Amino acid sequence: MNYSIKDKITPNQFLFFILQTQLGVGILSLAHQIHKDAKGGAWISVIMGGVISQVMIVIFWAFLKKNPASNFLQAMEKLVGKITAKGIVIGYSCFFALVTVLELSEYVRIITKWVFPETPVWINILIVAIAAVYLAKESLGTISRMYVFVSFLIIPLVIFTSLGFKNVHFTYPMPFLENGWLAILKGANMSFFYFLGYEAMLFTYFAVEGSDKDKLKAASMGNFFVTIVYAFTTYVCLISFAPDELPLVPEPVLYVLKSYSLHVIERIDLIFLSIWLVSVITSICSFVYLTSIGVAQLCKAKNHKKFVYWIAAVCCVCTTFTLTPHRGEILDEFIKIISYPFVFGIPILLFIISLFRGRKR
Amino acid sequence: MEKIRKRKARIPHSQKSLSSSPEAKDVFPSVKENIDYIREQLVHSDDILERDIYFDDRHGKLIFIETLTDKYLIIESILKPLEQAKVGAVEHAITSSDFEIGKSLDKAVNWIISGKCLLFLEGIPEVYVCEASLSIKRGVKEPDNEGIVRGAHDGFIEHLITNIHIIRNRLENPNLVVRYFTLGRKSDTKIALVYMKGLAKEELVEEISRRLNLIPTDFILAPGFIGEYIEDDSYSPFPQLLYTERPDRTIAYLMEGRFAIFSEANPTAIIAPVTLFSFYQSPDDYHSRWMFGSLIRSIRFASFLIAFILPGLYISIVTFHPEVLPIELIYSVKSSIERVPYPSLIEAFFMELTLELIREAGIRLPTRVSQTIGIVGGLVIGDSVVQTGLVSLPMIIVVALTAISAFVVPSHEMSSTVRLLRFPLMIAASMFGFIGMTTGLFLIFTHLAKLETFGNPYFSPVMPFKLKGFKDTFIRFPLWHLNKSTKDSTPDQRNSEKAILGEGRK
Repeated sequence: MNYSIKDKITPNQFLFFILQTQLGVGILSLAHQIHKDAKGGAWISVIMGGVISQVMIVIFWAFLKKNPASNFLQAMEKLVGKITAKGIVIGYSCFFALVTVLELSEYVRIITKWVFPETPVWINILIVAIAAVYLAKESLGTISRMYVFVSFLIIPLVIFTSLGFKNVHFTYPMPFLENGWLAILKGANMSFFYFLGYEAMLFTYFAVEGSDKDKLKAASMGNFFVTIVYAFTTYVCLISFAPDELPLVPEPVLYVLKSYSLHVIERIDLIFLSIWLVSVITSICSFVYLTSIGVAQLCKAKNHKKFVYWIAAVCCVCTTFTLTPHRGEILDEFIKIISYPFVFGIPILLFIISLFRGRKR
Repeated sequence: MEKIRKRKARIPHSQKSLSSSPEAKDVFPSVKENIDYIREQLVHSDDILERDIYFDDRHGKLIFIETLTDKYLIIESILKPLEQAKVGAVEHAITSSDFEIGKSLDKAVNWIISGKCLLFLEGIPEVYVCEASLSIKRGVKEPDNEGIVRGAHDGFIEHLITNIHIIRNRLENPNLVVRYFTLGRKSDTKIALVYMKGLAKEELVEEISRRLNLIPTDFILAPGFIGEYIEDDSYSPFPQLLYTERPDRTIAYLMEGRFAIFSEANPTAIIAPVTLFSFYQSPDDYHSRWMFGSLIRSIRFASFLIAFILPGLYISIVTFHPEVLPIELIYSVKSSIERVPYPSLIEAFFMELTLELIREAGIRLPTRVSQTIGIVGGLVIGDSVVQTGLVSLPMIIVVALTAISAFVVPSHEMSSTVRLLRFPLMIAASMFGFIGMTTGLFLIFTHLAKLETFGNPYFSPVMPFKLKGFKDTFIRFPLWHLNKSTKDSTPDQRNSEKAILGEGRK
């Protein structure tokens, strides 16, 4: 499929597309997960994760730029030939679909624990899926408009988190390098998965109007914002909980919020969860959209609309199979392993190929 | 302009089926034959009058419909001049403002029912059509439904020419264009499309003309008829065309490059393309000082949110998350709710229904009786419903606040939309609490994001986000500021009173 006029977005909209795709389920459990390895230096790990993402964004950009193609499939065909290009697009579509399933199952786990313990799982899934599909079937222009709008919700999100400074001990996470740099690198390796979402660049890059430089700037800014928000929340969690407490609380952000109250609103965590839900919907919407775009490009369909329903349905059904803790872990591990080739391996390979191709010309 | 969604081509309306004879009839040389034919076509209606005339040594007849024509005008512009001239050409003698010579009898029938006066002369196969229509109109009084405190107090009336006269009179500009359309298969309704050349986008005018020409209806009863045929998305709860009876409002929109549609016998102008924020603007904002204008604006937007979020918010709090409230408030709310056996959704629906009933009953009753409704509805029901334990007190507060907020909107259509939208949100809230509310709001805003009218985003400048556009949405900047900002961003010759940017143009 080719991008129509309605699919064209400005670099600013592109920024928020990347931002909303990256900012997803993870923010609640980020501090807990990273703290496992990196201990007090978790926030350094998060920043390193952001830096790694930034490097990858530059690599993505390096082989996407100056390509006269109108979509990702065409760009790849020019780079590596028809059959391999199709393979790459199929691979990425499957990868995005898997990430959708992972996000959904993570969402269901948290929502069941915090809000609806008794509600059937499929209803919890439907709540998010309906909203995500309703947006994902629209043009990229509409999706980006909506993303810019809901990005204002990040402001209360950050404000609520910073209220946590009321009752903190700055000494909790110190010394930052408790377990040495190796542990921090391990944490960075872990935090890197929370930054997934900038791969959206691959499929949306050609819909952005503007120079290559603007596009890189936009994507980098998006990633930068996410890094700041993640590092900030992680740091607030680190100074709010003693090092021994943190491994016991899987969603530290919510516990931080639960512990204090404004005089007007008592339970800020519930408000926070509602805002968090919007971030979940937007990232699931992004991944469903990206998958359907990939499929539409493969099928040479006119638009992605009809694929959205099927892809979302398949993802929802798959999610219901992943909800036991054991299976959830397997899925988590699996996606971690396959993200290496999809986020590092293939792009770097493509980058090297594009270097050689460029020289030949 | 590819952005404008091409609507499915509808069948263009066919020729009017008034005349029963299949072939076109030309005017006969004989006066009697002509008169008989016309009388036949008009089913020998009793209000057709004829008068004998002698001119140029010929016998002639003047025929007109008594109830449509001005007798004084006939005497002054037709009978007297003919009497004085005696001989010569008819077109030289008659002093009527609009004069035509026709050959077709079928057309003559159309003319006579539009209030013209027909003159036949013996031996001449031509019909002379003179303007003599009678127009009865009321004064240009301020519309009751759109009152303002300061500013012009006139309004449109049920007469197309007068309405356009008001516009032309206020807007002395050679670029003001009026285009007439005739709609309806069974009855002609004259429609006027008014726009400013150079300000309104050419493609927009083309598109609206195309849509108007495709309207396949038999007759136009209300501007809502036109609206429903030309709007982009009929399945949206949001009004995409603005109806107003105020000339000053209409002119302000014309100067922003939008167009207005007037129809005969209706005091309502249809304005398009509009954004959601147009519905929240009132001329009053510009008559008061800008700070106060901004305050009123923001209160109106707060009312928008209160009107459709508050009932849902309340339901989700008392049903799912009472712990969100401070502890003292929980006690008083809970003690009031405990007396009510129903879930809060039923309570809310009951109260909203009562409210809509009172409102609907109040509209059509004369003022003296509607006061009774107010007392019965407001005092008796409001008080006793709590006493009986059907509805809790906080719910009454919530519903009353919502009702007032919904009526703050200056536009009746938008007020209905807001009242309608809170019901799905209430249901979502009663099922899933905050999570349901979030999803519901997400769906509504997604709908707003994708909604476009005539190629313009409906929720601009919020979606797509344009910081400059905010100067005249939630708050109103001083006017000189608005003008400056508009000029900055628009190189073409557009000097607008307000600064909603990007409207009517790419």
